[in-house]
Amino acid sequence: MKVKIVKVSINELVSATIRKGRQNELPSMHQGWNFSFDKHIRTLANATAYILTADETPDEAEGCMIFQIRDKLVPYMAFVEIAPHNRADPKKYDHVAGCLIAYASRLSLDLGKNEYEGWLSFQVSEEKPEDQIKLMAVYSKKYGALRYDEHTMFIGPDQAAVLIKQYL
Amino acid sequence: MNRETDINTPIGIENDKPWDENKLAGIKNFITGENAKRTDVQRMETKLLAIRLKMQDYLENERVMLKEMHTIDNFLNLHLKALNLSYKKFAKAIGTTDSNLKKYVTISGNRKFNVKLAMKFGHFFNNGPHLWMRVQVKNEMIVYAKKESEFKKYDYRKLLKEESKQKVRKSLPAKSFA
Repeated sequence: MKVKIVKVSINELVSATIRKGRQNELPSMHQGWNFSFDKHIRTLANATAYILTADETPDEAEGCMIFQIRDKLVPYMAFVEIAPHNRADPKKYDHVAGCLIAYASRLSLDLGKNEYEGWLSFQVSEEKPEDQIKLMAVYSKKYGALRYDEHTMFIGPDQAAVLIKQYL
Repeated sequence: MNRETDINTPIGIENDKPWDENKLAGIKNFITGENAKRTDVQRMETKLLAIRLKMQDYLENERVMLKEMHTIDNFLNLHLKALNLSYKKFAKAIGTTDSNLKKYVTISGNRKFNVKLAMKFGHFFNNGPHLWMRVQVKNEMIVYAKKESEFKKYDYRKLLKEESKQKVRKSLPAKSFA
């Protein structure tokens, strides 16, 4: 799917693509990422990995996301991460995570069945409980996520519609 | 556009434990409770959005074969089901009858879905006429894809080649043809 991300150096929207990622092109901790997507995709059931690439550098992942239907019911964003160079200051591209989260919300509308239609779950974890609470508050503010328990959050169908409109 | 700057912290948990029955039951209760807070209009809008996304995915899929084709009628039925509306009521609402409408939207129908109907569908379902018309054009292209070889003779390069040959013939002295 075609999306737009911000190229920070010129502060302009540029074209990018979200597509299924082949196992051999998924990022790993060896490349400076926090998660080894190539390893996780082998072990998670009912999971698909997606990468976001800028059209000007189509072989380089700017962000990666693994989507799963957890326990055959619950749409679940197992992992989302932006490339190390997009975390740096100055970052290369912005709105990469936003596009991937909106895309996962879109998948939850398509693949979530019955009452789970459009309900996207995900989990966050920080070492200190106070940081965990702060991080969850940030996800609530930025993406309209609802807190379920100490790690788990949900983005609901109405908020999915908002994110899809904003990012996709 | 109201977009937010990315958060650097990734989402996900390494070595996450399986969710047990209690957690799954809790999640189900949570979602049921949250869904109950939503209005009928919100629920309907979610269903319509999901159908619109399905139509967009269908249009973007370049590998749809004839047997996988989704007719206008297929997508119309999804909309009617989401809105809990009968075919007859819908047909009446757009100024026709169900039997007449079927002539335009089903494969067996003998009339072609057209721009006027796309305008009516697009406005009625609030998803725009282009979406419906693009489905119609895609489906026609799928049908014609089987006959593509018939059209290979229409090629500007063949015409230019022929014209170029004729120019060469004309430029040669008349005696050459003697």
